[in-house]
Amino acid sequence: MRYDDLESLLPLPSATFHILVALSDADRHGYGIMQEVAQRTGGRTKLNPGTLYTTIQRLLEKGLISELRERDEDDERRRYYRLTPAGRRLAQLELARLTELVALGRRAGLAREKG
Amino acid sequence: MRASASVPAWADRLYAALLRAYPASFREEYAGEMRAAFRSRWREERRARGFLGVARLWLAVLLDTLATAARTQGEMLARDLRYAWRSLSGRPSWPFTAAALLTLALGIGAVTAIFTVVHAVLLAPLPYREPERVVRLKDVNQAAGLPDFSSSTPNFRSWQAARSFSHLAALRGAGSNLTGGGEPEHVNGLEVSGSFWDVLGLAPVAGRAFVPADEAPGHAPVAMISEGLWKRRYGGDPSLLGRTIDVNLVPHVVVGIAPQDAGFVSDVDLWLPLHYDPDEDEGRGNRQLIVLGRLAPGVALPQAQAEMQGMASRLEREFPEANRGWSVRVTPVRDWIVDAEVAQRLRIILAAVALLLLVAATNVANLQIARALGRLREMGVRLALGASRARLVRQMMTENLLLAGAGGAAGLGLAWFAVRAAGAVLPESIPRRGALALDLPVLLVAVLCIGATALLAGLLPAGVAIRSSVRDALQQAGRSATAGRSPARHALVAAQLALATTLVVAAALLTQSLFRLQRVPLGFGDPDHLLTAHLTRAATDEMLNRTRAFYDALLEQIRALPGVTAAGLSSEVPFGSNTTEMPVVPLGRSLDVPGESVQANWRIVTADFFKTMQIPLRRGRTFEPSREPRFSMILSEGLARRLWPAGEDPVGRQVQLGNRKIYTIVGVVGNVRQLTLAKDPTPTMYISPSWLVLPTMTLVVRTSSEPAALVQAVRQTVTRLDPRQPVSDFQTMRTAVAANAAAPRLNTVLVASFAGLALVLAVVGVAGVVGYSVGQRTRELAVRLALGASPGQAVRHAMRGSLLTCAAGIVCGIGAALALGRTLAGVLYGVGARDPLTFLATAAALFAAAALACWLPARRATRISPTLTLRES
Repeated sequence: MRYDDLESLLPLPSATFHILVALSDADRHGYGIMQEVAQRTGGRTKLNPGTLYTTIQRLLEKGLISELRERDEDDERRRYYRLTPAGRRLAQLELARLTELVALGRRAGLAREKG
Repeated sequence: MRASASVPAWADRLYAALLRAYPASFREEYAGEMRAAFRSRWREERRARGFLGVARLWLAVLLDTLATAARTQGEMLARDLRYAWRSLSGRPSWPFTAAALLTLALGIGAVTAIFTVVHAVLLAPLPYREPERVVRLKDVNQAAGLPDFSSSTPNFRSWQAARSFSHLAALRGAGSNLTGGGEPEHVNGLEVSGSFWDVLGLAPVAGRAFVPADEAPGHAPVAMISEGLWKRRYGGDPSLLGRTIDVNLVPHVVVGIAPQDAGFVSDVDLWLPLHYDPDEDEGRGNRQLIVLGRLAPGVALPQAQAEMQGMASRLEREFPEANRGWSVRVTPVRDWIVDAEVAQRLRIILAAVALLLLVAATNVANLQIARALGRLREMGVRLALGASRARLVRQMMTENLLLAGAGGAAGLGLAWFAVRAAGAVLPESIPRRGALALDLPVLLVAVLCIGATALLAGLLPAGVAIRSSVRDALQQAGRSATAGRSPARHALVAAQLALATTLVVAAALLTQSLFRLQRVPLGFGDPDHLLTAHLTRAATDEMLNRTRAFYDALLEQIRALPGVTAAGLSSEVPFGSNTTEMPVVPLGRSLDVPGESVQANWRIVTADFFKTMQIPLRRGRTFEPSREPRFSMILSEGLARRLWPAGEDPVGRQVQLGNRKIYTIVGVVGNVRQLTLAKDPTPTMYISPSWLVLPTMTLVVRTSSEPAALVQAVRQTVTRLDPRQPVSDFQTMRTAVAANAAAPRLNTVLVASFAGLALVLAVVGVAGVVGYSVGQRTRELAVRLALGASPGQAVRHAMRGSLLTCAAGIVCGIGAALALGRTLAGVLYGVGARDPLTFLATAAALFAAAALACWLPARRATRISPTLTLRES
């Protein structure tokens, strides 16, 4: 996927963003992604297998993640996924978009109401 | 802390089953990991939250699977469709695509259009309440060969004691004149007994239906008119209800508006109560009524039949004079509305068009195989790159679905036009043709046909492609020696030819039958210069003399018109819509002994009728104008021979009729085909109008010029004599004869065009296969030529296998046609359903066509240059 086209994928579905974030610091297998997301969100977000794997398939097709067929010590069927530069770039774009939204809300004074 | 629970086997299996919602290629890739992930989640939830957690997990997983599977399937379908579209519309493929689309559109369109007619006539429910409970009761006399006869009023009244029916009703024709408030007009009418509308369960559009009191003697005359007449003649005026209209010059109160479509008729505009006077003896043997009934709740047809059987036997013992030999049959009302021959013709056409669709599907399958073989390399590469076979099959099926869908949609468009045109094309003998509609059941069948076609045309090519591309990928020898010989394609060609042969044989038989039908002697002269028209006029005893005087004056004035050579009247002319019959015996023999009497048509004819019709006089004389004795009779030759088989001269002898009246024979005339072209001339007796005239008489005019030019003059003559007298239904005898052959003609035309199309498709299929195989075997043929084979030998070699295939297909088709003979026999005239000459000629012609289809592409073999070909490879 060309970098210019990445914008057209925004905004990302939250499951997609979670998967990209989960892969941002390490290669993980599918179940590993699920655990990582649950951990990072304090158990509030649990990806279901259907969402997880159909999203993985779509990200693979678009070249946003890649598949590593490394041997795992416990289970050799597991495939690892790695963020590609394009995938990392996409996550950054989504993050910038979200940050902008947050700033927008703050400027409007919405953040205070919470406290 | 609870012990770590293991996932029960059923949960694992259930989840695996759930995963089947995803496309196979996705499952192959991820199912294992997904199940592992599910098991981990299951254990986690079980540990942390117990059963509630597991339940929540199931719910979440179920919803998630449904949503993501639907999305994945949709994306894959969209991708396959895009791919299929590119592949079908791309450069090398589009001629194939166009051919396939055209074939499919024609096939699906024809099937849908024909099925629309079959559905409307044979399958769609009649517009009655609980239509399956409506039956007809008909009189049957096996000994006299009368399987389907009307019933008499006294018998009908006796039947009303039957408990099997909640209602019984009788009806008979009552064509009538409407006068006052506009031009005098003749309309089709029916007299129906009080419970008629209850039997059918039809409600009037406005006003009320008849009640039994309406038919009581002395009751003020009432009428119902059809919705069509109401709108046409009275502008749909609601205040017409309760007012009077003049029917046959008598004021009738309009009590209700009847629906136009009464199920069994849709051209009846006037409904009158069937008057019944118990004091008047109508004659138990005078069978004129059509009787309909509604089965009582809980009564099945066989029970009703059994009760009526008993009742008929009782009436036979009680009234032997009128009822000897007669019994009653109860049949579903549809069997009366749609006669067996019409149903049979429709079934034959439907079968023919289904065969055509099969040929079309086979042709598309064949085209697809050819195309798939051309894409072997592409397929091989994709398989080698790891695409699954399931994926390739799915893609080819998507292509076929797209093709069949597009072809089917075009076909539905064609069918829509065809059905709109059908109203005008369908012969009048086909009932319920007003109910034609491309409605839901028809569309469902069309969609089913489209799906089946896609499957039929797709599975085999997909199988061939997969097998071949695997082999190809393995062998790397693009053009192996066997590549040209595709057994699947040969089988398809054979099947196609077999189907086409069956159709062509049927078409050939039907064409011969039609040809013979149109050349049968009619028994009367030149139908092109005979004009007929109907006159309905009061003919009661007190009116008889005035009516006869009117007719005498009318005939005299018409004869004086320029261009008229003769004119006469008859109660019924050949190929008219009605018939009147009665048993007859030579005086002295018993009417009641089965086999003694002859069931014969009777006609009231004026003196000049025979001269006008040009029916030859064989013996004696025709009637004397105006001074014929009351009980004179003229017989048809055939009837005379049946009454006096020894050949005695009938002139001067006497006969007795079913109504016990005695007539003296004054002459014998030639036989005339009275009812249909296909039936031998019916025995006929002619009586003079000196003492009897029927309410509706047919005027027959022999012209020396174009009959249509006389219509106006005849109409003016009638109006001059009586301004309130309508004259209707002008037509030439030629039109009536042609209408009689309309159903067989339509049948033949349709089957012949389906056969022609099938033949073209089959021949194209043969040529395609042979051409392809020659192309593939260029190298082999080049070797043969290099080794000294003559070009002729090379061509023969290229053709041999294909010719054998064709011959096999044709033989199978002939066999199928022989087996189907019995279906066709009922509608054939003058030619056997297994006519050996037709079969031989068809087989020879088809083989010649197939041989030509083989030879044309095989000729390319002669143009092979051995040196060039062999050097290239």
